[in-house]
Amino acid sequence: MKQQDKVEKKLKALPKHKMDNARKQRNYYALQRPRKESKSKYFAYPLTIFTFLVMIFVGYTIIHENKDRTTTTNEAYTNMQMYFEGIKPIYSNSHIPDTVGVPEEYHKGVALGYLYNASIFYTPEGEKVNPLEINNNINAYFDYKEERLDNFSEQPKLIADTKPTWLYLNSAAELIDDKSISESLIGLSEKISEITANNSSQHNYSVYKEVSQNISEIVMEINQVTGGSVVVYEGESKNWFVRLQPLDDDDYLLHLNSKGLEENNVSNISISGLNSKFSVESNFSGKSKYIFGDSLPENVIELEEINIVIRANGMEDTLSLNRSTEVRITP
Amino acid sequence: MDNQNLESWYEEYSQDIFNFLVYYNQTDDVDDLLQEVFFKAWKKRFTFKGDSSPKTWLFSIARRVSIDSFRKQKLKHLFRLQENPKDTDTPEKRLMDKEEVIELYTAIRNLKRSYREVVICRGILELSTNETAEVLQWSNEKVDTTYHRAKTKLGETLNFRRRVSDEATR
Repeated sequence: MKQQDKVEKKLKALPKHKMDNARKQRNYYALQRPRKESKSKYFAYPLTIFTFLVMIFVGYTIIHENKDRTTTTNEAYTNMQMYFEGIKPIYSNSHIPDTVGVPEEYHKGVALGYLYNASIFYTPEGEKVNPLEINNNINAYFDYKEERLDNFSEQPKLIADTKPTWLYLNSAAELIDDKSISESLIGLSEKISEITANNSSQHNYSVYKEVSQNISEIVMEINQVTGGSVVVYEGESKNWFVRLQPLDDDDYLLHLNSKGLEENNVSNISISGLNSKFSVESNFSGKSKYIFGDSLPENVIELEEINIVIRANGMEDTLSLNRSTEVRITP
Repeated sequence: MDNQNLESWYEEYSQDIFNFLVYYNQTDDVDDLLQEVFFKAWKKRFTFKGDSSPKTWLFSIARRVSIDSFRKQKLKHLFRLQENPKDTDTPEKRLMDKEEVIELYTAIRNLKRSYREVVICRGILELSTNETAEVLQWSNEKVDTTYHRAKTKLGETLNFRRRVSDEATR
């Protein structure tokens, strides 16, 4: 008998773990309890519930009347930290379409990557700032006197930045299955929509500052609890920028950015590398494409450099993708 | 899913989900996870459109709950074998001696995650390729390829252990 069949037979013969009846019922009772209790409370003890709510309201008012809103924001950040604890960001330079088929288990990672992108902001002088690359003195980047904002020359850059920020916040919110977190992100995206060329510079900057500060604080908080360093392989040639991010096991996300192809041209591309152990074939249209795959050769993450060949429209490009743990975010 | 459905699904699938959770989490202390699976299913009942079977849908929730639990705890539970597996009711199961079972458990535990997942779904729970693909959100091809590789790896590991053990007893 083939070894594979022997293994399969042994696997099928492994014991099936079962709960005894008491344990099964105990678990079902525990599952039912929260809902049954809340139902009975509302119907059986309305006065108790009302009194309880009044007490909570009074207590909440007394405790919080002197606190500013940063306390509330910090509580939300703690939820963010809990939600993203141990998650590794999945990097992208744009929205990753659903059609790419990134499985649900990576959605938190994708959402985290979007938040990193959303956190990039510009100072009134047009300096691009990535809050994750600086330390805790983020407030220094927002310390501008009102008169300097009257007609700051870089306002168009700031207004242009509101679009990607809005997109990344909403894209992250879509993937996050915690209602309070996604609502807080949607709140920030609605806030940044208040920035328009018709409003005064001061108003625009005040909104931009508030949202940017909030997102920066969020990503800096989350960054303390994420799942360690992420390895990516990046490289570029005359015609392509390529980023390959190995994920769990053999999964990977490949990002191709064309520098040479015409925007509307549809091409068949093929990518091969790692001594022919890695190959991808796909259609390419537009400027950018993401490919999720599940057949990255083992131990790739230990390599310092990956050489790949991209063939498109009869042209062949050879790229060296270099291992990096510091990802260039360029939204 | 209303309360009645929850009850009937629990009645029908809780033992399968329990079995899955024990193998996936490598511990039989999975009561909290089991409750979370059914609670999440109840909360997300409106997203279940019936495209897949309730069983594979519940398995996929159990898998996500387990992955989240790993991430939160950052500690792997020790694999605790049941001393007296209760349903050694088939002749095949009776034939497998305890040492062999322990050896197999250890080999499965040492597999990489994708191999372990497919071995649990295809090999132990005996799900079909389609069902496994639904649970793991993989393509059918990936399920077949990975299962083939995982069995080869398991076979190699078991042979290696046996050779070491034989040499030690000589």
